[in-house]
Amino acid sequence: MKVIFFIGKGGVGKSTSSAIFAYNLAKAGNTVLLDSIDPAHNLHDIFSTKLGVVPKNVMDGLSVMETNLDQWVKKYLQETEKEFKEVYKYQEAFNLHKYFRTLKYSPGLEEYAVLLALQDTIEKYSDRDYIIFDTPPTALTLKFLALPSVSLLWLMELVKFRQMILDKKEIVTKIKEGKKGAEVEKDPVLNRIEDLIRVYQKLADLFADSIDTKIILVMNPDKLSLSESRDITAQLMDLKMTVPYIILNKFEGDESICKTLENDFIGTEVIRFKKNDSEIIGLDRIEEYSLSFDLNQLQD
Amino acid sequence: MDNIKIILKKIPVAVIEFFQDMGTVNRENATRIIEYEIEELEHIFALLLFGSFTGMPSPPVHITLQLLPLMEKELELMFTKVATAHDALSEITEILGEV
Repeated sequence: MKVIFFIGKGGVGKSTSSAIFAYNLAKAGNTVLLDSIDPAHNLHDIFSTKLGVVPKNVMDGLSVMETNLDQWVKKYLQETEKEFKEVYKYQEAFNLHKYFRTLKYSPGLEEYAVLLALQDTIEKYSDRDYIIFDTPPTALTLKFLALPSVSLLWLMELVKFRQMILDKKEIVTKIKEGKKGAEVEKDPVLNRIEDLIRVYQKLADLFADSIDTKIILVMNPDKLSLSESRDITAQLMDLKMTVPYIILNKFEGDESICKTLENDFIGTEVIRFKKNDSEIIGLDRIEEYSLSFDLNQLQD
Repeated sequence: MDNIKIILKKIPVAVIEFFQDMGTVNRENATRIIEYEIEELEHIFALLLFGSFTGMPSPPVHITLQLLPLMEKELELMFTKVATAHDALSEITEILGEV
């Protein structure tokens, strides 16, 4: 299974490019799942069909779904609240449950929901040859791609700190109760932190795996788009991720921008998607459009 | 005579118990400062996680939320510390005075 992320500035044509890409991969005989994790979904318009959280077959080998991020935030908060209630039985007396209602607006929860959704899709549909993610605009995408590494940094420090506390506790128990005290019960907080480390490490490894995970940057041939693409690539480099392909969408034949791209993004292949007079909506239009360029350049 | 015998028999037991108790007391004293340190460390650990309550930068919300249900003791400690924080010196002298 290979995972492909389509990233880029809002409105450059990520959804359309991912749909064309997915279509061509399926046409070449692969099983492909295209999943929109953008809170503002476009795929149902592009494929002109109703889509939901369950993959819908739109053609042989290609199924499409749109992830509901709000549902993930809700599910996550409900699970936490349930666990919280089990531990803090008295909390209802202080109306603490009301606090959970406002938690859904906490900064950072949206990107966490994206991560949960992503993890779920990858686990559920690992039998597909390709899973393609149509991502939200840059800001949110970079945040969720950075989330595993950022979380790991925090968790690594927390685990060290917790271990130090536990070591000292062990000394006290040993002095007080003799050697018997050495068998202290495993700390639930440390257990939970270690579980979280395993989860985030897996995701960080997946994002940084340059063989099975590809990031395709979509941009338009204009200065703003070029400038943002440079920033995105630099930020991805910090996260040890590389961009092997750039899709130059709405390309009008100006080769000078391609030269700039080749100089700026060394080792990145530029794929040109020509500007189309009419919108690409519906499977027929995708097919028609796909015929107009060399499919070989899409082969991995 | 019988009474004296019983008392004499009890003396070694009492001596052993006395030294055992002395040992326990000494161990308690020896660990009191470490225990105080542990309490402080647990407090800092809670502050690290729930620092947003006091304006400190905190980890991503999802980490805080996932550990929150397991941290009742630390939270309690954190709130107690709020009450005693203005008088940390007396707290320390109290601990040192007991040793």
